[in-house]
Amino acid sequence: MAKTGTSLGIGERRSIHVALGALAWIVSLLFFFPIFWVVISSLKNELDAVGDPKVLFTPSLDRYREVTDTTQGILSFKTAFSNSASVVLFSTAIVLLMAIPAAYALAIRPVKKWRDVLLFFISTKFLPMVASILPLYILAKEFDLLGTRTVLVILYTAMNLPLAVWMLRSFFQEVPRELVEAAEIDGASLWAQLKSVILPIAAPGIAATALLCMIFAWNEFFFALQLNSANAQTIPIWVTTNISEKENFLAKLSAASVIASLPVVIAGWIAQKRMIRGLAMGAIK
Amino acid sequence: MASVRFENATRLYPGTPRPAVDQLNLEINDGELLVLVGPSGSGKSTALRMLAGLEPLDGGSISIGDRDVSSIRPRDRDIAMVFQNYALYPQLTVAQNMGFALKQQGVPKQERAQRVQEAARVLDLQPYLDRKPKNLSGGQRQRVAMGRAIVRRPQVYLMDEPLSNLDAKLRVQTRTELAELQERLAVTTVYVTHDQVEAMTMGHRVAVLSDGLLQQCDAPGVLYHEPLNLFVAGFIGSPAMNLLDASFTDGIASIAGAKVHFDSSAPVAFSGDSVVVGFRPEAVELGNGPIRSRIRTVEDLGAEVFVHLLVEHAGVTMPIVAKTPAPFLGHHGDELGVQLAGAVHLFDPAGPRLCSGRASLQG
Repeated sequence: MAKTGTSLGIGERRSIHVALGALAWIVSLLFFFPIFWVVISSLKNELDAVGDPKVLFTPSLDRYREVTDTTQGILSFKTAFSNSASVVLFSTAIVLLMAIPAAYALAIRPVKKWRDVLLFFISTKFLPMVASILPLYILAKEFDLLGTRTVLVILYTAMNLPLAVWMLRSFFQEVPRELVEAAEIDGASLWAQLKSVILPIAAPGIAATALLCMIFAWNEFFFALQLNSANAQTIPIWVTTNISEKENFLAKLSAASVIASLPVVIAGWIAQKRMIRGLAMGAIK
Repeated sequence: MASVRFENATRLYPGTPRPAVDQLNLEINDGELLVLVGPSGSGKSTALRMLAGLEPLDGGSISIGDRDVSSIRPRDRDIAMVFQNYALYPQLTVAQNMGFALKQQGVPKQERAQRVQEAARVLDLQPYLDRKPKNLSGGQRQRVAMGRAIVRRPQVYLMDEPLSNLDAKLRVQTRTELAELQERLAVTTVYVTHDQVEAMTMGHRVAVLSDGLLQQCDAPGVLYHEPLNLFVAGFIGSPAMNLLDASFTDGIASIAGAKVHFDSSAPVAFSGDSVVVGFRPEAVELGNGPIRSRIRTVEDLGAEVFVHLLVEHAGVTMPIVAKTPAPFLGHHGDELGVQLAGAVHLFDPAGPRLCSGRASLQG
């Protein structure tokens, strides 16, 4: 009797199996390498970072201290960070508050012409951002919103809402219809159905949607630069404006980039566990 | 507890040409277990969902007791439903699942716990009250779904194929338990199934549906012995009733050259020149008889044997099934004579039954 099972399918050759595995690793490492290089560079001093690639060096967190303490840019790191955080959290919260009822109306009790509604939502993403910047700028100026966090909250909400509605709709569709019907017969009001049945089952999907909205909002650069380059600038703008280009700046830029991407990476890592599916297993045979 | 009445209840799904349930008239008595049975697409589940309030009515009305519930929301109808796939809330424990409806009704926590305990005792679920549905077996989940219904003490139970996800042995066992429980609680129950054995064994009365139309609603024995039309005759009974096309002249039907002679001499009033002769497998006597047949297969079930035969009739080979007590010594290809010794029915080829009675074949 064989002591270990085979992972090979019938008719598969071991050599091809190994080669495909190696290829997958090579591609992954290729993607990961630039990120690895940025992290390494951020731990070097400026001279080491621009010179020939050094394998051995004494890592230090000095660059991180420098970029978080300097005031070369318009705003401090703390202010930019809190700007980003508040814009991202507010816009994502509003997106979810609006997208959940919309997704319910499109998935669980489809309204008439729901296909058209869905297409309309996504059609707002067809327009290139550049094409909309002039009217947006004029409107923002008109309403006295230039250089405020409010304008970004509004724009990021509008930017992420179609995506969130689409995503949540597909997650809500996976909630077994009988569960909603059972809750309805059990006397649950619409709110109780949402709270006790639909949202707990769709929670991994909602977490995934929220995470994606947060990533898009956190990384957004174009609107933030055009409408908000001064007082309420966000982290991506801070990364580019806070580093002086008069001297060597690669290590500092790397450190700033690492700091800028850290919240998204951490959020992704935490949400990964929530996103694991399977909560609905056991409900239906 | 209450009676249920469908009056011309109709449901037409948007974009479909024919109603899924067409002018259904049905009265279910207080405390009765009525089974809705029919093949896929017959409208049985739709009828149940109409009663639950999950499907709107396009015509007619439905009453529970004296109250017309046609336009009342599901939650205000005072019903409980057991779904085919149980529809247990996956994030709640067994106890929370069973108490969910009571919580929605605002029943105090203590009374809720007491009623859940009571139902759990009836259904042998006490050891599992803290478990989540995913940690239960199929049979246990089915019982939780039942528990969720009985905890509520509603006026009517609705059951949509609640046993179809269980394996054969458990299904038979649960069938008996369920019928017993219904008897004890004496709550009006509407039970949907496509399995006619389940329908016949459980229902006080069985309503047979086909293509959205009610074909017959009667006690199981009546359906079996006095089917109103060809559909009911062919649908009820396993193996199905033998239905053979026969020529019809001078008020007498003939199959394979043999005349069907009814014991009672009342003439059959029918003007067509062909009828359908129906007889159950147990009405077939093998050995000597005016019709020659050839054995196709023999199914030996131990206590009884089903013999599948082929009969030549007007140049066409027609299959018939005979049921005989074991042992049976015939084999594939053997030739046998066939005689009828039991109830025989004549049907208009368009559907309705023309007459029934004991009959025999005369060569």
